[in-house]
This record gives sequence, C-alpha cells and structure tokens, in this order.
Amino acid sequence: VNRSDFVRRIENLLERDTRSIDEQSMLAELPEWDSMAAIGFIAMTDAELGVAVRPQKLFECKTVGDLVGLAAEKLS
Amino acid sequence: VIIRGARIRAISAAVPPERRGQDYWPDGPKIAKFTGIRERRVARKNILPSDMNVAAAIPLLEKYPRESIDCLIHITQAPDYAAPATSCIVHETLQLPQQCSVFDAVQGCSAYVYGLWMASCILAAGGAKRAMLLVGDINAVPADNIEPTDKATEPLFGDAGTATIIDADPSAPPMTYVNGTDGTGWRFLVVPGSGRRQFGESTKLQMDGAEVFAFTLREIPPLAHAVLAEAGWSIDDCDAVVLHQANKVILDAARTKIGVPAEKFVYGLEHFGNTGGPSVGLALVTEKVKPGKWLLLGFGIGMSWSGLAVDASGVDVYPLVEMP
Repeated sequence: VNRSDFVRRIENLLERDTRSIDEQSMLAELPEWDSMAAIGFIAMTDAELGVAVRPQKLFECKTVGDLVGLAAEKLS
Repeated sequence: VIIRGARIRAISAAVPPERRGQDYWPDGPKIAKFTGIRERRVARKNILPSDMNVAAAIPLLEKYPRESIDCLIHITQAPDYAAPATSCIVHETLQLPQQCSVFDAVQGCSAYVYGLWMASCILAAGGAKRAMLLVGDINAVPADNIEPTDKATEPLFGDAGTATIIDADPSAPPMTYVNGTDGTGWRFLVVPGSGRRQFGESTKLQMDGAEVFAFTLREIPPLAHAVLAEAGWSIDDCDAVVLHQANKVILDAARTKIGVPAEKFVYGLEHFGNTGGPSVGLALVTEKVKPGKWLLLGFGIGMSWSGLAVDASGVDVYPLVEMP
C-alpha cells in the first residue's frame, strides 16, 4: 500500500467519488469526515496495516495528508 | 483465575415495549448500517433497571423458588436511590427470605460477566448456596441519561434487564475468569453530574467514541486470548463467543482480531442496540444461544473488563420477557 492507495482507501471509507480528494484536502471541508468516519479510520488502519492510531493524534489532523502520515511507517 | 464450585443454572432477560429507530437522524440509514443497530427498546420515564430486572427474574422463581435464594446481587448505573441499596428494594419486590444477603455493585458494560464473577466467588467460597444476579441499565432516550442531539451516544443505546441464577455446586465445571481495569480511561465515558464530585453538572452520558474504540482494539483481543489460555481452550473449542454488544464496528473489529469464525460469534444488536451492563446476558437470550462452551467478554466504562470461559451445557436460557 502506498500513499496514494491509502488516500483512495480513505475516499472509499468516506464513500466519496474516486479522486475527489487528495493529500491537500482539508478534513474540515469534508462533510463525510465525522465521528463515525474517525472510528472507521481507526478500524481500517488497525485491520489493514496493523497500525494502532492514537485518537488524540487523529484529532490533531487537519488534512487528508495528515491522516496518511499517521500510517506512514507502514506505507511504501 | 479458575473458580470451581459454582454453576450457572438459568438466564432470563426483559425489555420494555417501546421501540426507537434511527429515523430521528437525517443520516439514519447510514447510522444503522455503521452501528448495526436498527432500533432499540427504550424504557418509559417510570421504568428503571430494577423494574426490568424484576420482570426478568419472575419467570425464574417457578423453578428456582424465592426461599432458595440466599444471595442477591444488583448491578446498575441507574439505581432506584443512591441510598438505600436497590437490592433491598428488589428484596421486597421479589419477597425474598430474610436470610438472604443482598448488595449493589456498580459496573457498566463489563457488568454481566463481572457479576457472574462476584456470584461465583461468593458461592465457591461457601458464602451462599444460590445467588440471583440482576444486571440492568437504562441508557436511552427518553430517560434523561442521553443528550438527544449527541450523535456519539443517542443512536447506540437501548434498555434492558437480566436475571441469572448461579448455584454452589461442587461438581460444576470450572469457570475461568480474567478481569482487568484501566482507571486512566475513566474520563472517556462519564456522566459528570451523576454523583457528588460534580453535583449539578450534566447528567447525560459523555463518550469519547474514538478513545473507547481504540481501548477495545487494544485490550479486548488480548483479554479473549488470556481467558482461553488460562482455560486451556482454543477458539475452536468454543461453541459460542458473546461480547458486550457495543456496536457493529467494535464487534466486527474484535471478531477479526480475536479470530472467531462467523458462525460462533453472536450479534444481538440489530433490534436492541447497546444495552450496557446487561448486553451479554440479553444477547444470550435474544439470540437463543445454545448452551455449550461459552466465551463471554464484557468491557467498557471504567475502563473495566471481564472475561469468562465456561462449559455452560445444561444452562436454561429462558425466552425473552416482553414487558407490557
């Protein structure tokens, strides 16, 4: 899984159209990014990458790229 | 720990009649899909956990007569009064004998399994011969425990009560329990104004869903494996695995991480939601789980957890009591 694959997975999690977001997208501008999506994100990174995201870190994220950064160690 | 000398005899559960769907929310269908919860049972204003517990207990008294019960444990986060103990009030309602020891305990989502542990310890130590464990909670609107506009809590919770008979029995199969606590997480699920420390503050449940979810992923799969290891079982030995019915995301993630085959894993969420303390007992009843080798895991507010592996062959699982 590389960074852009991971962005596509976030897109899928948020049920958005393909290539409708990129690493620069602001989370605050994505209506689909809500408390359910945050939990879905933690579940996805845990199940697919074995990364335990700390919720505190998650809520510091401003952009999709910041989310990708949380899983960076396991991305190619 | 392995406890010898206590046997679960019978399990009963009761729910109030009112149903509440997810149509309250504009994205209700999405919430239902995400949580796995289509509707909940919601107690009317004047129905308390003790009322639902009593409703669950009454059918048991025919086969397990009131005179034979010498220990009553009542667990809820919504007692009738802060004083006296709700167990004393239930003692009157169920007309239990005077020689009966009764007490209240407070736990939330770990309560059902935790309560079995309490009862088992007392019975195995010779402190009583027959215990009745009552575990119930009210969590849902219109009871005033939940903020109706709080999407983190409102769509999840339902109300229920349970009653379970546990006997002292030297020939009982061993019960393997693992309990645990992480007090550093108590702020993630709290009702601030529910006691004296912050008297006058909000009486609604406040939950940090992401923290609770992360806690579950971190602690519950190891709990499952610790219980199995201590019992000398593998997951293949289990006939049924029943977790606290938190929500579908938590159950799916925990099932995958523990490695439970789908056919052994019990989901009881769809029509009852997350009922907190009684959820494990309620799921055994509503899903008509066949008595056999059970792995039961309770976890949540506190943060607190309790796991049990037991050969429950021969346990009477009573039909669900629908309250009028």
